[in-house]
Amino acid sequence: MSLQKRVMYSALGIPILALAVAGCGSSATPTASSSPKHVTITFEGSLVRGPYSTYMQTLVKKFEKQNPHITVTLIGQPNWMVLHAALITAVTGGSPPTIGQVENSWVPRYAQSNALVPLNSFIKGPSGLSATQIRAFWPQIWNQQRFSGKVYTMPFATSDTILYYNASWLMKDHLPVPTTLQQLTNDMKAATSTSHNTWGISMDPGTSSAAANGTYWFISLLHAYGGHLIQGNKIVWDSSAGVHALQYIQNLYRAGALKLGNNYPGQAALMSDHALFDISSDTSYPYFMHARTSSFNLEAIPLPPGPAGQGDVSTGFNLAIFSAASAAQQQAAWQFLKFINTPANQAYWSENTAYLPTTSTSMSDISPSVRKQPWLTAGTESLPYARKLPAKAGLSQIVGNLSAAIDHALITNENAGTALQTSAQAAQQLLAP
Amino acid sequence: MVTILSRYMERRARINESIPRFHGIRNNRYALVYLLPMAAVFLVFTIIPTLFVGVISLFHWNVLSPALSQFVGLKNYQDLLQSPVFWHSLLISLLFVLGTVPTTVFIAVAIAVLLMDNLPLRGLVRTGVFSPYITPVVATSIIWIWMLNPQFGLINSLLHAAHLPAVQWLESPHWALLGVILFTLWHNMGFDVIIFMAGLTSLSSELGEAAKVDGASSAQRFVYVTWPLLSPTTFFVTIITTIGSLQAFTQFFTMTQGGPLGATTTASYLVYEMGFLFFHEGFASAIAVVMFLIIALLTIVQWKMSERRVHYQ
Repeated sequence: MSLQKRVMYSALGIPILALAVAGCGSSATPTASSSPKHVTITFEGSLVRGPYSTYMQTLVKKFEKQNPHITVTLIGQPNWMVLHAALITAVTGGSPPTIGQVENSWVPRYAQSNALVPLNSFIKGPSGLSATQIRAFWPQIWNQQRFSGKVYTMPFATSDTILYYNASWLMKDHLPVPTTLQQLTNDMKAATSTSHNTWGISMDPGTSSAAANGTYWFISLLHAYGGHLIQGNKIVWDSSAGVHALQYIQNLYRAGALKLGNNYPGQAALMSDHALFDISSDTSYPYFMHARTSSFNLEAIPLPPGPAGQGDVSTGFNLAIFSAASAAQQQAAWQFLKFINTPANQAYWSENTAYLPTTSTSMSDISPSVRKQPWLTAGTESLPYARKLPAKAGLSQIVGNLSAAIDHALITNENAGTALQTSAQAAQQLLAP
Repeated sequence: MVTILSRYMERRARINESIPRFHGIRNNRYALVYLLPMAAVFLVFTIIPTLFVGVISLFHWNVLSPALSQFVGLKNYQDLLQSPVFWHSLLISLLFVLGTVPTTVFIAVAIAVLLMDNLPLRGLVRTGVFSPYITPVVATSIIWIWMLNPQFGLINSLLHAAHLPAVQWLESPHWALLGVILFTLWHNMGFDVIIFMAGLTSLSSELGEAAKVDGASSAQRFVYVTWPLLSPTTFFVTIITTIGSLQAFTQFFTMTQGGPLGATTTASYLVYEMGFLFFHEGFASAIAVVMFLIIALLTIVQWKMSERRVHYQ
């Protein structure tokens, strides 16, 4: 998931008013043209504008050339938070886009309101997906598309969490590339110096309303220690695995090897030679390259394994078709979803955005020079054990409690077990039965 | 500005009184016709949605399927009053108002008085003071995030140069609100300075000159003559700054997102968080209604207090 948070809201009242006005709106009018053969579909997302817009527009033009009876209109939103609010408002107002870029945790709410079209009939239909095509998807990615036994989304843009490091610094100080958590600790502590104003890593756990990279690292560590976030309908991050994971972060913080910040502190500290490591998404790579001022060698590897093996979190977006669309629009949208996931198109999208390709077969279409880049090697290597956050309604608020627990453990020096227990109890109340 | 406006209104009232009644009716009819388009826009985009927020606050609102919303009466308000998060957000809002309003008023008056003198490069200084106000809050608040960065930010570098300890600023629950207050003061001060300068320009110089003849010092003239005469302007600035502070959102959204540990979760931010991140629309609407009532009440209190303001004219 792209975690760009540079956004704006002009006034507090406007969203409320917009929502209210949208609630009073009339029902949707499909945007089909006068010719019955020609179909116009809309695609609303945050990855269709900003730095990604050029690549999506190229793909759209290619699609329209292959399907001259279909026109795709892109509707861009500045970031995922605005997109979420915009889609909800559009559904409420009865005018959702044909295709929406959605996060996994948004699906339950939409699906329960019948706002999305289950894709099972399209997948099995005459223009569906063959068994070979389905097998081509990375299993971790394909399995994320289901909710309540139905497939509601198709893969689009997936990323996971990887460990970036300053390879030049490691070499200069004769430090090993960390392959265990203990080595990672040792490296971070070795890099920490008050006189040089250097340390191991900077991170941002986020806030109670929006978890950030620091929280995703904790969840990866939780998995590496053998723990889970939620099991069935119970919050279980306060297990002994969770306590070990939080204590790991807490010990680094107490040693001065880990510092807190906001607005991508990990990237800023790594790129300014203050920190040795950063843990963030593979999609950070282009930003690193864009911001790089010094000549150090930037490398990336999968997160070091813990006692229970490797842990990681996959984030990103999928594509869904909204049920307000006409049958012709739904069919056209399905063609587009299939088109986006063809190996050549995924390779193009991945090469230019640093999102991981959704299918293993795309790898051969990626140019050899990009195939060697650390974000792609580390990202795809991490995919087999990268777990998606569970598709639960209200997940952002639930995980927000975890961010608060990390803050409590680090900033107020609260006992790791107590912080996790308190947050788990608060989150449990939010979990719908 | 307010003085000029009140004089103008008084003059208009006298003129209106002198106009024969049938002319007044006809003028009013024309005025109503002219006002109708704007009134319609105001009704559709402000009044109706505001009332609708009140309606939503009485429901357990289902945003995707409003028909499935459940009427819960005053339960959202009951939950609100029992919610420590809400009371905490009100406290943060209050602290933010206390941190911005009195400081803004006093510093803005001081700067305005200084800028009324014939300083060298006065125009440039005036432009410099006002320019932060016309910069976008989002862009400048991101710059301030970097300035307040605890490890390599400008502010901590200055503290270090002055042999003062580094402050964690936006990463610390104790300092984060102060960081946002500093940004807000920097950003909004220019507007209040301009208002005070307009107030100072409209003042008659006679009383000041009389006090000078009587031997009053510059400080005495300001305290006993200028400042009391500025009371309508001060009242105006206090009201708009208070309302603006209670509604402040963008800098909190950009700089801290309510964190760390809720240290900057104001009531305004809580409305956004509950309504648009957690989708508890009924609860969020109840907060919005309570905030509306608080702001209305404060404004009435300030109006009442302003009736006791000092006038020498």
